[in-house]
Amino acid sequence: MKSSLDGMAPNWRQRLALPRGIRDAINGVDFNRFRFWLQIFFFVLLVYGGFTGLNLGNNLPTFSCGYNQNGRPGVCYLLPLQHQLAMPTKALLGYASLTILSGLFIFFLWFIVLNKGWCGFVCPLGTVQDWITDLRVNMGVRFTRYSQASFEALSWMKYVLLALMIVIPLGIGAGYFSHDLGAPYCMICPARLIIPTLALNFDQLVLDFSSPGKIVMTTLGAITTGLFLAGSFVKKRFWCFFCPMSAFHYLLSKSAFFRLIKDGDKCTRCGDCYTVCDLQIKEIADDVRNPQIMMDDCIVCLKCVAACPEQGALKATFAGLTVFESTEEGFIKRMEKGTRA
Amino acid sequence: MRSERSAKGDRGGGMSEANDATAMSGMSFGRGPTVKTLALRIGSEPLGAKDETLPDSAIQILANDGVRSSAPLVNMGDASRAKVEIPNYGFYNASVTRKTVHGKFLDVQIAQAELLKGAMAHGGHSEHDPKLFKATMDDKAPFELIREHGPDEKLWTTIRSGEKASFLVRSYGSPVAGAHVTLVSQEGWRKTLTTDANGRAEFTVIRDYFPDWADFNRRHSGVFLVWAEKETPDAGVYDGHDYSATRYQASLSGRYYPSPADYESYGYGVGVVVFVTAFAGLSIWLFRQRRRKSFKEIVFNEKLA
Repeated sequence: MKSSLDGMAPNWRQRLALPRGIRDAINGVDFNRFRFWLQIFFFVLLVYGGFTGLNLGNNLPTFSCGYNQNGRPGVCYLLPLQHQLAMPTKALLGYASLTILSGLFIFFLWFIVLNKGWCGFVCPLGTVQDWITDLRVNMGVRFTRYSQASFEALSWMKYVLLALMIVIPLGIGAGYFSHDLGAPYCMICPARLIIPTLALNFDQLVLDFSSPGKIVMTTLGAITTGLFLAGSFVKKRFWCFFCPMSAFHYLLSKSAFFRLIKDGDKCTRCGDCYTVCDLQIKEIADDVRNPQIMMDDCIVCLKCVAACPEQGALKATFAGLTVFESTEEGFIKRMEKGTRA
Repeated sequence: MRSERSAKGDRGGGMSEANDATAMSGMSFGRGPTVKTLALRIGSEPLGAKDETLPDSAIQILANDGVRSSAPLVNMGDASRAKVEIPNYGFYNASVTRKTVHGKFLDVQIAQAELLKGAMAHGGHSEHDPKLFKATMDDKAPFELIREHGPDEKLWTTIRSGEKASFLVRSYGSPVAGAHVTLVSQEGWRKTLTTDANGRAEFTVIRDYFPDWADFNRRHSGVFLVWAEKETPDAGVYDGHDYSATRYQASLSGRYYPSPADYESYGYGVGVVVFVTAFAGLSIWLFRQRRRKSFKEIVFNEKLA
């Protein structure tokens, strides 16, 4: 059957497309193993890279925790953002706003490369959660899934935390709140206790009794860390559901180069993508109309693409070029190796 | 920013300099180099120090890259002030000298200040350049007192109560052994040591901040004053007066803060984490157990029928 494309010159995507052999090799890769080693690489880089003098700046779109003083090769952007937003309001409305805008711009430049893939492949806290999940699997303990009602009730929390992360520092700068509430999200983030501890810096494992504000914030931080450890054991990517960085990413995701695309015409509604999704995103299976299938909870781990048996139904693209797509051959190969949900 | 005062105690005279709170107004975001205001004071205790004047003098500044500059000491009635520009990150050595002949002695009093342009900026260059963390020493100074920096010192390192504070006494770049070094805390505690062969005297900064808990401020800073004294047989003529010996005194001040051990607890921190993890884990397990109800079939008891 003739196609309307017959006889037409190849477009730029076709010109830049990888040769078929390489495409098949990528699409048929042992995805779990690839992701596992990539996560280890980024974990070592972001937790211990600072010991080599590496300096990636202070605008990173991932949890390279700033409290990991010696090990960090760069700083998670949320920490300097909160500090900058806490500047006196007069300065904030003046030339200091250039500091924030320039910081946001550099953060944006980092972010658009991987979109929310920073969460699924790079974030060290996400990697810790995946390792806790592996521990649970090896212990033979069953995982937990939220009910749909719970999912919908809890999914707004990341936006609340994002709003508080911005409002409280602004209130500090305006004189409404004490500086003891400085960097409020960092004070409750489990990464502040866990990441430095993994770099043998135990300074954050304390409760600070110097003021009521510090008592509250450091206690909240200890509580969220305890909940993180218990929650991550039974729920895959437990903290990603509440993470304000995830919410922040989603607000900027429309401009990113890296995308998760669905061709609804090829979807057979088998539900494999939803089954393997750590974040229980229903739309990945149910939505067959919207090609931009990345939701706010998505961490672009691409497990759905790896688990999809339909050729081209799901794909990851970079600047419009397909880098990884679902194929029947890849699905069969991964099922034979035992793709783990 | 530190308020630095130094004094010469026993002989009732001396020089000191202070980096007072008005220096903060000299720090602004993105408007040229940092400017610090130094004040000259005299006294043997930080809180009791008074303003002093020194006409026709200038503060000598040595940067960590060896560049020398000066700033005029402006007399304002009973006080003297100098505005010092410190454009680059790192430690600067500022000093002013007064020489007077008393009897057969030439008294050389050097009031010093260690100025810091630091940064808490995350991920900046200043975090990783070790040259910026070293104390600035003047090999041309006939007598100087330097606060020795620790191996882990950065641009934001502070001295805490309970920690060691080590000082070096040097003369033309060489250590001075046998100099008397006195440190006075904000509340008046003082101790005198003699420098060893390396010119070093090491103090433990005591805790002297005991407010009620409700008034406790972790950012509270006390000022310590430290001075070094040494007599040498150097003789000569100064300002038309003969002298047969020289008495050197160099002074320095700094700030110290409450120790984290006063308000931080590892026990409570780890305890809360462990407790919450265990409680949440137990709750999840109990929840799962309760959902796993065994099937109970209805049994018809024929005996009761």
